[in-house]
Amino acid sequence: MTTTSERIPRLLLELPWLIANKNVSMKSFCSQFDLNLEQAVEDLALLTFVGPGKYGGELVDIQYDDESIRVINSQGLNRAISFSGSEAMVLMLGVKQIIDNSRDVSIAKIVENKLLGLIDDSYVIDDLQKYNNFKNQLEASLKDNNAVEIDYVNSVLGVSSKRVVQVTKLYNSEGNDYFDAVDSKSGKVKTFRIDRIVTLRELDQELIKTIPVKSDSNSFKVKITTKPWFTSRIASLGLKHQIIDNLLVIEMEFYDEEFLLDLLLRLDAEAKIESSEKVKKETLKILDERIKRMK
Amino acid sequence: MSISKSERILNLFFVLLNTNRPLSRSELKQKVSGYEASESETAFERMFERDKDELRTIGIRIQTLPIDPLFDDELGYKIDPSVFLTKQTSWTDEERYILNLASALWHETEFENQAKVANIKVGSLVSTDSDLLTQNLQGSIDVYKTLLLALQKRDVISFAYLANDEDIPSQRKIIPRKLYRKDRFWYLEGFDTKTSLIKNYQIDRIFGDIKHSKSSEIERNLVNKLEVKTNSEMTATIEINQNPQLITHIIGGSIVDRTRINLHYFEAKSLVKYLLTISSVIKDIQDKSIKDLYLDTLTSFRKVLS
Repeated sequence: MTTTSERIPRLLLELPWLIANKNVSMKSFCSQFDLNLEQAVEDLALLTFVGPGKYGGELVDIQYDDESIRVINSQGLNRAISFSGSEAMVLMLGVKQIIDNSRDVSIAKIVENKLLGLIDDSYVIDDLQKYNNFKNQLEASLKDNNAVEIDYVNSVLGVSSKRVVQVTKLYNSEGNDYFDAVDSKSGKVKTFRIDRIVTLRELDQELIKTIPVKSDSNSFKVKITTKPWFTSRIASLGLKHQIIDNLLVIEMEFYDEEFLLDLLLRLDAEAKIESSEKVKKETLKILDERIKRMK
Repeated sequence: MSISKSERILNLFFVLLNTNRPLSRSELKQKVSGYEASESETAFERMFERDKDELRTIGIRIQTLPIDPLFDDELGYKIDPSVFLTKQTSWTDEERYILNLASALWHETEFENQAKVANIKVGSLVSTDSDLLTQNLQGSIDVYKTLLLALQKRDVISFAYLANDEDIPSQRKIIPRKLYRKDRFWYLEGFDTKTSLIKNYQIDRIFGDIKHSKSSEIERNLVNKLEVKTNSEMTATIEINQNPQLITHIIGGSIVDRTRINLHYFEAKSLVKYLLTISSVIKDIQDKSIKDLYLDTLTSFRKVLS
């Protein structure tokens, strides 16, 4: 038999859930709350008898039959009671697992941020709103064929102010949102990461009529091998990597030596690099320049 | 006809939820259907106290406030929906699918019920359909299951951990106190049994399996008595060759002037590891010892490319 302390939390869960799932069937309601038909009817009957009005008139109003259940008046209980610490934790961790182990995580990231907004008042939601605004503006500019003006910080912290680009493609890769765009200065297609935009303004003009083909001619292939535990240090970069024979292996095309050096500096000085001598020489030159300007 | 205890508690709940001002006990006795049956004032008081406790047990915070803001001699009660109800959020079908999957990951674990209740609270149609799950996802939740169980029981856990200032993971043995998310990462706050200090560990930096064992009573008492002590925070001033306003937007820190930013740190070696990742913009470091350590570490990478 259900005790009062078990039943009340269930009843307080049922009412907001029925509001969120309008016209749900009795069968679905039973399965959701592990009830048999008799218990479900008892719960619904009790809910229609309670409320702030002692003599009727201000009571919860639910209409139900086998086909559907409808809440007419919830007497103020239209949202669920707040999460307990452990409830919030397990749901957040579940979403984290999906983000960490899935290819397309854009929706999971939205869910994660919405959950954070529900759980913690101190969470700074502004950044997320800004990020979503950028994404929406980029989608709109792509649809309208309009150029955008951005302040942007690239992967090697190079800053470009008031850069005008025309978006050609929006996509997600390894958990990060990117867009390809034609750069107004060089006329070439370049790749940008949305979370590295600082400001964005949609312009009321089309920059180019014909989109140039994205050129990979300046890319070079590099293989880096190091200890497996350094995986955590490259997690935020969204790079493809593998663990082979207990070693972390990053094998990919690079477009500039600055980024290759920044990647190496995240790892350790014992890492092994396989590339052309020219690439190693160029990268070493950049490293020496960084050392020299400090002295 | 007398009404059931459940009905009376729910009536109390709805009266407290729908009032704009704190209600006195005598008003509650009048308004709440079910209290009229109490045989005496003492019986009502006892009944009311039990009902309040029942609501508090299930997480409903009842506010106790002065009825007259100018005089605090008589207290009243109310429930503030902005405090105890979840915020209004709408979910798309795709988002609900993710929530369902996140909840289903805990199927057949000790945390199945909490996950289900949380999912119901966001309005999802909960499903434990095994088609939703992949083996990969189910396996990865095991780490967190171990951590949550150890947290609940105050057990000892041991694992290999790669600290920011280390190049090889070292073995840690801790009693966890808190699991939390900050910025993009999840952390574990715990009592380090080797140093007897409370430390924070980034979960992504745990390498390999987590083993857990029972803690001794002495260890548990020590954890409860310890206050959180951390090293004092220090500040390093870094001269950079890019616009500080745009750079701090990406890497954090605060702007000093048109060419310099401040970064806060606890340990010099950790700071230097971080500085390496932003070395493309660094022109100078004000603190000589940090600068020397940074230059030594940066120079050590020459051999990778030579």
